[in-house]
Amino acid sequence: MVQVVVYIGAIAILFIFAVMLTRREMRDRGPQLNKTWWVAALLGLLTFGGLAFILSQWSGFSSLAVEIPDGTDTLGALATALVSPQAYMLPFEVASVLLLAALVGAVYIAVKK
Amino acid sequence: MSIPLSWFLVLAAALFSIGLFGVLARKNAVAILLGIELMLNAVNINLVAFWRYGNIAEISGQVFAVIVFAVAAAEVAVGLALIISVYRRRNTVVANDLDLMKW
Amino acid sequence: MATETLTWLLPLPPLLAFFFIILFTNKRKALSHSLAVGAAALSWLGSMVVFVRALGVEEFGHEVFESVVDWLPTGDKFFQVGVLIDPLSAAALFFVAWTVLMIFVYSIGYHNFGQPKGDHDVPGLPPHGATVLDGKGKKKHVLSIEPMYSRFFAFIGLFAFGMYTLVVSNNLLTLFVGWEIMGLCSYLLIGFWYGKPSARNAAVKAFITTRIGDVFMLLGIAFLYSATGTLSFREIFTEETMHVLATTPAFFGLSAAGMIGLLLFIGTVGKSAQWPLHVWLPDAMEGPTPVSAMIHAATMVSAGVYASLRMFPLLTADFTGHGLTPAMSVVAFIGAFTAIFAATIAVAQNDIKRVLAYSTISQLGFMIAALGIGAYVAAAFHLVTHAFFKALLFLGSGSVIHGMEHGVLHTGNHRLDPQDMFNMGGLRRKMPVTFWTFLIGGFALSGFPLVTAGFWSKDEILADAFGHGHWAVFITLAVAAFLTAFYTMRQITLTFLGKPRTKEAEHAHETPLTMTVPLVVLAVFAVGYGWVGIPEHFPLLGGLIPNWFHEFVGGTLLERPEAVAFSIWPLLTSLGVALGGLGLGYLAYRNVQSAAQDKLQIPFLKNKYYFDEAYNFLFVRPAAWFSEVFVSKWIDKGLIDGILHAFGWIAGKLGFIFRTYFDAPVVNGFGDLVGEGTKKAGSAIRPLQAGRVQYYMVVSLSVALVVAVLYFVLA
Repeated sequence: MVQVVVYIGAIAILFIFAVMLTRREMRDRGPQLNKTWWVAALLGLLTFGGLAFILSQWSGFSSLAVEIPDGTDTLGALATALVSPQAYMLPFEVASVLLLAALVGAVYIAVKK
Repeated sequence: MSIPLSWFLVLAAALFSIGLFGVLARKNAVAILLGIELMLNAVNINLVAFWRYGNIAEISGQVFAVIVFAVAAAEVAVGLALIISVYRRRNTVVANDLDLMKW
Repeated sequence: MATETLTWLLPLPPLLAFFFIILFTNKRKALSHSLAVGAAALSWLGSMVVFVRALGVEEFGHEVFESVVDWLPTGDKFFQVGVLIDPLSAAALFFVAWTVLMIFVYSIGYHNFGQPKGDHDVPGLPPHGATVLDGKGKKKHVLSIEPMYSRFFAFIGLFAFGMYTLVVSNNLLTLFVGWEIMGLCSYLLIGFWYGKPSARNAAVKAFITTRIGDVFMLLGIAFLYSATGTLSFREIFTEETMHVLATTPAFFGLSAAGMIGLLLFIGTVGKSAQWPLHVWLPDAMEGPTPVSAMIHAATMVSAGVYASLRMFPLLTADFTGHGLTPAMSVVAFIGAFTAIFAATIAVAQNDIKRVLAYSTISQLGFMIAALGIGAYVAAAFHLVTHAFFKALLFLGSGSVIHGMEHGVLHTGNHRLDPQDMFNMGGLRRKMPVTFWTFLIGGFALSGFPLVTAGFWSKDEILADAFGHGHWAVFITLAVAAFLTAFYTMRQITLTFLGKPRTKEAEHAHETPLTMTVPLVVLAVFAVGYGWVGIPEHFPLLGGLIPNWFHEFVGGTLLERPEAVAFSIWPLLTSLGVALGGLGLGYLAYRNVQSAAQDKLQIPFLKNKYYFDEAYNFLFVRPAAWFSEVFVSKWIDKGLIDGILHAFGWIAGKLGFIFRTYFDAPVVNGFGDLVGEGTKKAGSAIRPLQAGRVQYYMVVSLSVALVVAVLYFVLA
């Protein structure tokens, strides 16, 4: 849920802004891919194949999902974990600092002098 | 119906590979960033799948995923700011044209 | 100061003067001549002190002043050198000191001290005169100062050092050292005006000719040393040593003593210009006149006779008083022959100095002949008196030449030879002091009776020859004495008497005091020195003054020589030849105006019997060929330089091979290879850094994938 919100609301909007700001015209022209796209394709295929192969060697590859017992509040547990000092509060705070830094940085980089 | 873990893993691998292809093969710098986002999402899928199909009580899987997409957002912001700044200077976003660091 | 110490110090002042002038005072003329004259005066003073002290010693001859030092280590002993004052060296010291001092003083005036620098004077050539403005603004040409003034005084200082060393030494080695130093100085001084080719040739000729004599002398010294083991006079001339030497046979039928004596005598033949080594002395007139006086009167030629006097016991080793030993015969022959030979040449000479040169050779012949017949004291006596009057004559001739040069500068006719007697005449009125002193000297040379020293010494030689029955020697010497008087009067008549024959002679005038005072001093000795040697039995005068010289110098020998018994015949002969020669010379030449009227200008005599030409053909040209062609061209330039050139050529070729085939390709190539290779490698790899991030990523991922695949396949 959060992910969807973040991605649609923020990242996608950012992308649209960026695209609009970096176009000379509103229309695409020319080929979109590099001259050596086939190398990238080959690499991608090889990566996929390799990952799939390695993962398939793992014993738990085809394990089935376990039933979540009733009454388990996964979201509450997540929230609790994110703000409890014994759990992941520190990474959470650090992540917010990171966002702040990113914000400042982005503004600084992109501001028109 | 129970989907085996393997479906999620394969999906994540496929997304990852497509994202890799996009990073390596697209001309436009914005498109390269999209590819990077795709790879990060694939990683997220993997993380959540392992949490769900492994030990549910171990909440760190989800926490990790949350942190990951916070970082992804930050990184996109900065990256796009960079691309806009570069565009202002050189009037292009084709990655292959940015070759100042050549010999 | 002890006499021995003083004797050691006698040669020192002139040597120090030489060094100081050469090193420090070369540019300051007054200081240089002061140093030189001061040094000569110091040595003169010391010599007089030594002489006076020597006079006061009883039995001087047995008692001597001697002092030795150990010098060269020879095994378990030392070779000693030292000083010796015995009667002979005391008498020699007397005349050397006086003549050297007079010549030094004379040189100041001769080289025109105080005169301005010449117009065109160049060091190496004689001065040619300076132009000055006199009081009225007219241009006058006057004599100019010698450019190499200080150098002259340095050299004659060295010369004096050589002579003093020779006289005071007690052994043959240091005598020879002094001998050779004088040989060197004669070369330096005869060639003083080195800009003149004739002077250069004369200097070389003098040195080489005397050197020939010196080689034999050195052989004699070596022989003596090997026979006796010593070179010291007092050790050689003892009864035992002389007896051993006299009885040891050597080559050519001579005893060892005779052989050694002859070898040493050959040194005297060279140094005292006896026939056949006489050729250098007339050419030595190229040097300045004080040099001629020094070399040919006071010092060098006297040194030759002095050395023979020293070696007299060796020559007379077997002499019993009657028959001459073979060595003595040789000596007497050479002496007598030279006397008459040189006298005949002197009558045909026109140059005032040449006449005196041949006269010197002739008089030295007298002394050598006296030695040859055993007249030790007579030879020594004539040596001393000759030194005085010959120095006087040479200095006088220098004064005459100076006066003539005044005249030459006045008229400006530089092609006139100021030394040619036929350009002179009537100088008696222009240069009175020179005239009277020259007359005294000339009369002494001729043997003018009673009032001149030459009479007493020459008479003693003739008396000795007559008294001991050596007729050939007696007659030869008498004829030579006649010729001597004749050419001397010829010289005086042509130069001083009559009327001036040229304008230059008219304008001559007397020379300054520095030149005339030494003439007067020497004239005093030329007159007075004879009176110390009046024979005892001489009519009227004999016995009034004791024959000091005979007693004094005779004490040098082991056995005091006896005075010869008096006979009227040699006295009459010497009176006759002297007065006759003088009178004939005056009568023959008082009206002669030019060389064409001179009947004695016989080419054979004038050209010195062509001896110079003969020597040139026989010795000089082959030697020159040998050195110039054989040694210099063929061996030195051809062989030795050829070898060096070959080495050079080989080295060059080798170098080229190394350079072309090794250095350039291999060494340079390697260096270039490294550089070029790096550049090429760099150029090859450089495209990797394209600056395009995507490209980097593709490459790195490909590589990572390849590695992973390999890992999984191989692991």
